[in-house]
Amino acid sequence: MSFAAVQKHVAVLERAGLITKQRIGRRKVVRTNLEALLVARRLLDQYEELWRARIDRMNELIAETAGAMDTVETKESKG
Amino acid sequence: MTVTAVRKDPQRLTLTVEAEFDASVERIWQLWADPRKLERWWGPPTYPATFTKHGLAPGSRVEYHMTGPAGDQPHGYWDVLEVEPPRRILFRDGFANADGTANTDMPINTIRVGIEEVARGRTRMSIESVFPSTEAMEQILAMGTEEGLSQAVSQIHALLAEEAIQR
Repeated sequence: MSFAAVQKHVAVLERAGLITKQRIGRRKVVRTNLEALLVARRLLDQYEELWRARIDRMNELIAETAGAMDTVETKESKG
Repeated sequence: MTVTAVRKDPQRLTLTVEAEFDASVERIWQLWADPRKLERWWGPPTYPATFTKHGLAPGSRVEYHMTGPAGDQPHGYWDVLEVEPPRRILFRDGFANADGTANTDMPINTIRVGIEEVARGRTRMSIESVFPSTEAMEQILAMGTEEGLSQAVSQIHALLAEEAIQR
């Protein structure tokens, strides 16, 4: 990976609050924020549950309209 | 199982969920494009959503609110960025004030929806959700939940207490 690519990744992680940068003399030290990563993982788990519940509701809705569409199709085939 | 894949990237604060349905691409598209269908799944049963403005076109704004058990109504909006019916939507989901204007103090969640046929009568939908920060995720998760309501109530209590002190 090029230095520029590393810098880009570091910038993304820093914006997300997952790492902190600190200047020590001439060096820039990057530290990972492990706690933030764990928090992020827990929140993603909760968000996954939110979408699973939404997808369940989508499925129910599709099952319902499938019944309605079948009725229409039956009517059409009879007509 | 409807959900076929879940990917979580805590470093990029990104969640990807893939689901497959026994339905045509068009019918899955309608779950997003028809506001009356959309409001039947967007909010949980305890916080049903009502879409008051809806149109999927690049640059358009969708407005909605959710209604909680105590009559509380958190408002939200979508800024639609890209649309390719019936296969793709890219939008930003944010919090709104009661008049529908964006609440710029609150975070924005970018959502990318992809819909594709995997077999005849079988459709895959993928949702990619990107968050700006973990704080933003907390706030977004709290919207339309009992927890969010209790937070809002405690904020109101805090405001009232401040006012009482000022008087």
